[in-house]
Amino acid sequence: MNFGAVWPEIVVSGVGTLLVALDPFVSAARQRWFGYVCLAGLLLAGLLTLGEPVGGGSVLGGMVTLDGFSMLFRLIFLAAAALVVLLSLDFILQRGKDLGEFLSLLCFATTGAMVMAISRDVVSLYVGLELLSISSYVLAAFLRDESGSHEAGLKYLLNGALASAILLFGLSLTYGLTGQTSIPALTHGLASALHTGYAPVVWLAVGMVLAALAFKIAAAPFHLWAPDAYEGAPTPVTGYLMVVAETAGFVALLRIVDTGMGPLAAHWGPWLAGLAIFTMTVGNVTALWQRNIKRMLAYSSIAQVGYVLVGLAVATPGGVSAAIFYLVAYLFTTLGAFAVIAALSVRDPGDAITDYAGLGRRSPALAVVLTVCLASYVGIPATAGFMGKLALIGAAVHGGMAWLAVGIAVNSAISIGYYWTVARTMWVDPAPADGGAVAVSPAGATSVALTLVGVVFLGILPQAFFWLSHWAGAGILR
Amino acid sequence: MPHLSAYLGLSGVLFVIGAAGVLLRRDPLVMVMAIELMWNAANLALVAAARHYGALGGQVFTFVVITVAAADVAVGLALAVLLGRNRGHLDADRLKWLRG
Repeated sequence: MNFGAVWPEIVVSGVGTLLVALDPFVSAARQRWFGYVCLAGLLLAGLLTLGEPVGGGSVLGGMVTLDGFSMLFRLIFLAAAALVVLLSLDFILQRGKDLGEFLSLLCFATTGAMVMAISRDVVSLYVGLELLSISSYVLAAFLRDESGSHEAGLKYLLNGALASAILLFGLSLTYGLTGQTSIPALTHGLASALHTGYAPVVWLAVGMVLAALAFKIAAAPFHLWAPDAYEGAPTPVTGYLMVVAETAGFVALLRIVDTGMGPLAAHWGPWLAGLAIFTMTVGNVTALWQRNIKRMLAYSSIAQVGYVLVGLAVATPGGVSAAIFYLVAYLFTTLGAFAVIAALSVRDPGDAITDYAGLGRRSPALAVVLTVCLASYVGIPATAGFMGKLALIGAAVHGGMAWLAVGIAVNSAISIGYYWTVARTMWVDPAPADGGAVAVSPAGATSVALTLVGVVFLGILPQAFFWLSHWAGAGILR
Repeated sequence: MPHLSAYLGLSGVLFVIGAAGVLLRRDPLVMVMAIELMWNAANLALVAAARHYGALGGQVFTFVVITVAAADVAVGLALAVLLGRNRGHLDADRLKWLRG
């Protein structure tokens, strides 16, 4: 059997194993170099991914496919993991926690997400999803003596395991109907089973798979766990979960909806469109009332999920590539915001929006980056979010769902309300008397700078990434 | 040997019992057990379907699911023990530190 195709996954999980094996022999205070080992491993995995031939063929007995889609999303997950490593180093070390343990969990979770990206079979997709999820539960509970963190982990686990059970039962029904686990074969089997008198079972199975994945991406009305888990988890983990765990959910959804269940696309377009509009409205309206910045960004991320779902609902090549582009824009915007929040909470654990009063004078650079990220969430021109929304609106109009484009525009207007509150607090409100300048470590500053470059680059020169997301989308639709 | 639909019906019943357990019971330990029941309902359906089609794919999937479920339970029990040790109670409704 040829394992060449999965070398990047082998490297990332190998680094995770190495770090957890070394962890007991190095005292917590001396573990900073673990972070550089981890970054080197992620970089190596990225280079190996780039070196692989993109044939669209299937390897490892059809479990894995190496198309443009799997390539692009592997690189996205590796980049997100590397940024989270940079922004978490000081956060974890300052709290006296084992960095090795933290980074190894991060590596295992990233391996799971990468396995999901390359899967072409529901068995490997499921294993990847569970590897990501189980590692994420532990990561969310990582600060185990803080009451919010272990509670967040437990809530995330109970809801995540419930979603997995629903997904698994849906998959077992599809297996019962078709006898297939390969995603393309399974979807053609389902489309033909629709005409054999088993139509209600087909809809039950499809509905369960869709509902479980909606749970994983935190789409309303399946989002109730997300604000609690995201608020209680350690700040770098919150950023990781919002970006990697949600993007991985979208990877599964795109694979199943657009390859697998392609023949059924006409049936579920309206359902996904309804889910999109409901999710973005619930996320934006609830975010208006939040006083904690992590909780506010949690509802904001629910709204972003709604925008991405528009690309899936129109089910055209343009819609898929717009969704992929928006996911990349969302990665840089969210990790930029969390790089700033993590840098601020290295010493001071306050997450209330009022804690950001006068940040513009205390630390202008961090305030500028956070403001650019908030502008990107709103969709102000020259930011990544603007280009992403433009692509989604264009896809919705061309796909004959212009009302979804109107929904995006109206929701963006609503969202200005809560993003503006944060910007005003930072720039207009006076700083507290004891608030001095914020010290930022080189690693933290690197993560802030890289995400800022990403947000601005995607906003000003998006052509290369438009081409990449189109190429990746074409891989999945073939 | 009973028809495939009998097994699928039984697994549906098990799944509903498990789902009811998750929704009605508030003890995290019992909730994890109920979720296990839902997973095993899926396992039963997979094995029965694999037998029906004479294919091994479903049985391999079941082995994978059993392994994954063990890992999930290990983490779930660890978190439940942590909660019991820190709070002195096990009641999902009394997790009030986080709103909602």
